[in-house]
Amino acid sequence: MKLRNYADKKIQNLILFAPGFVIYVGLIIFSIFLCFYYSFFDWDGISRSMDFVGFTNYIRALKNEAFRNSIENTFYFAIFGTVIVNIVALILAVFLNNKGKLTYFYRAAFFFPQLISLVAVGFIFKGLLSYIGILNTMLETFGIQKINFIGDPNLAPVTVLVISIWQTTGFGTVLYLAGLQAIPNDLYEAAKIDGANAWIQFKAITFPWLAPSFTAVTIFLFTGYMKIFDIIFVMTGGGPAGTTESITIHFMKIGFNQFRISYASAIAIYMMILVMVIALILTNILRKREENLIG
Amino acid sequence: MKLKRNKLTPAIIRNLLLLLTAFIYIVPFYIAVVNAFKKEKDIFTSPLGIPFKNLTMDNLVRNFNSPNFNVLKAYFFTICLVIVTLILVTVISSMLSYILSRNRTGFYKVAYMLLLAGLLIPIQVILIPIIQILKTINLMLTAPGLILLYIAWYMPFTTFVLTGYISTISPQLDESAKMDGAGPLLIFFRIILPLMKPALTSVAIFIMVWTWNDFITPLVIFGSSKYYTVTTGIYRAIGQYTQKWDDVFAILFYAITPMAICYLWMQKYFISGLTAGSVKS
Repeated sequence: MKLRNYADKKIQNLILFAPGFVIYVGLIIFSIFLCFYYSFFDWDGISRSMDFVGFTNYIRALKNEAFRNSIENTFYFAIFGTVIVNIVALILAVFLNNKGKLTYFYRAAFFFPQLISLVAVGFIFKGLLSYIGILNTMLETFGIQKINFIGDPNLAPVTVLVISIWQTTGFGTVLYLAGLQAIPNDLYEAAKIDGANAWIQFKAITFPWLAPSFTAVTIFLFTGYMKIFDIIFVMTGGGPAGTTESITIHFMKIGFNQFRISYASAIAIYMMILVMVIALILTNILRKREENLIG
Repeated sequence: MKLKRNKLTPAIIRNLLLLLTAFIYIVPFYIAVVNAFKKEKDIFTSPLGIPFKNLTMDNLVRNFNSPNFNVLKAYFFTICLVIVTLILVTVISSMLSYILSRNRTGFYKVAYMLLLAGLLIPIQVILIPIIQILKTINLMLTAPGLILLYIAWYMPFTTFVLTGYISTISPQLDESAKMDGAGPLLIFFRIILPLMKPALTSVAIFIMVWTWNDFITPLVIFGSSKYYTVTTGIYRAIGQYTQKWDDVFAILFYAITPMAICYLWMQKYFISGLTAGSVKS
């Protein structure tokens, strides 16, 4: 009787455990292995012949100008985006933390783009900023020279960067706001009694207490920026002249326009390693920083 | 007097800056919505005005149904996709999380680590192999194929959040139920699952927003077949005539409205749900 109960319990545990785990391993983990596997061959995805080529695809990618350019562009977006969003979001959060009548309205407004698909966001800004778009038509009526926000190779990366900042700042703000609200009020009271001004209060209390929020926002943004795709795909497609081509756009071009499956797989593996290494480094550095600031 | 001014000025600057930022956030949506109701020539003569006199529904009517993009079809398909994905992911992931949260050694620990590793994987690594896998099981270009991929893809995040939450539910509850002769299945569905409501709400909002807005996965899975979601549908529809802003804004109006209504309706849940989940990860 006991034995049967035990076996029954095992089966029930398996029923709970297996579906999720099997689907995950069967699709995601197996896919990663397949991606690795493809990356060592020369294959177009359809033909039966698959020639083993070793590390050729990996070496070819490193030597490829367009691939290196796409990594550079991705880091450009990731570094500037993360830094600027952190600063702007922190300022907005500090402002919002002084409760006013409109606090909830502001928070809701800043957060809204987070819920709208980036495809729609991309098209809205294309309508606003394209050479024959809303803003340029207005400039023209005022007799001001039109600005080619999307078509100018120097301007296009900045345009994409600014829109992505616009889109993600609300998220950072809400995270920082949650961090600010977790700071005990007595700390500020005590500081006020000691005669500390607003800036010293910020430096001595707010800033260290926000370390966990900073970690969360930074890791979230940086890894998110490494995967930036939708806005660029819709607005510029990587152009003009490859100035906005991120790794993801480069990957899509190689894999889904040129059907160079194995070469695209090598790029995807590079991308995975890059994202993982950066996430681990950032987590380590920022956790240490948290300990130093609080401890 | 001097003291009062010192206190007032920062408040004014603060509010002005916030108001300006809110303005920057609202204007793009405002322009998209307002211009969806204008004739093409009116868009250019007064892009910012509210069309009181020249209001036209033509754009919305014209773009409601085109060979590439039927609004109702896109809504219906995407809503079904979201609902089925939502139900399957929350149930399957809760079940898995329950086991992983109550068994933290040996094989289960390895399984948990394997799931956590999935949090860092960029979807690009999956996209090429998944086509081959779905082709093999005859689910390529189908909605079940996409849903299966979503279940797998969301599993690390949902399991991570839910496992954490279940550990806060006392195992003594399980023990006392076990005393009464209940098996793991009964304990999970009768006792644990009903207690998971707060965590499930947060996870559900994430899945809803992600699935509704996802672009690259349906783009790859459905290709140019007859299926499209709202995002891939508007991409198809607008891709061809990006220069006709009356059409573009009308299509964008259709794309934005459902989420905007949802957001106005359940704003509190959206903000707290989405932030709670990301802080944990």
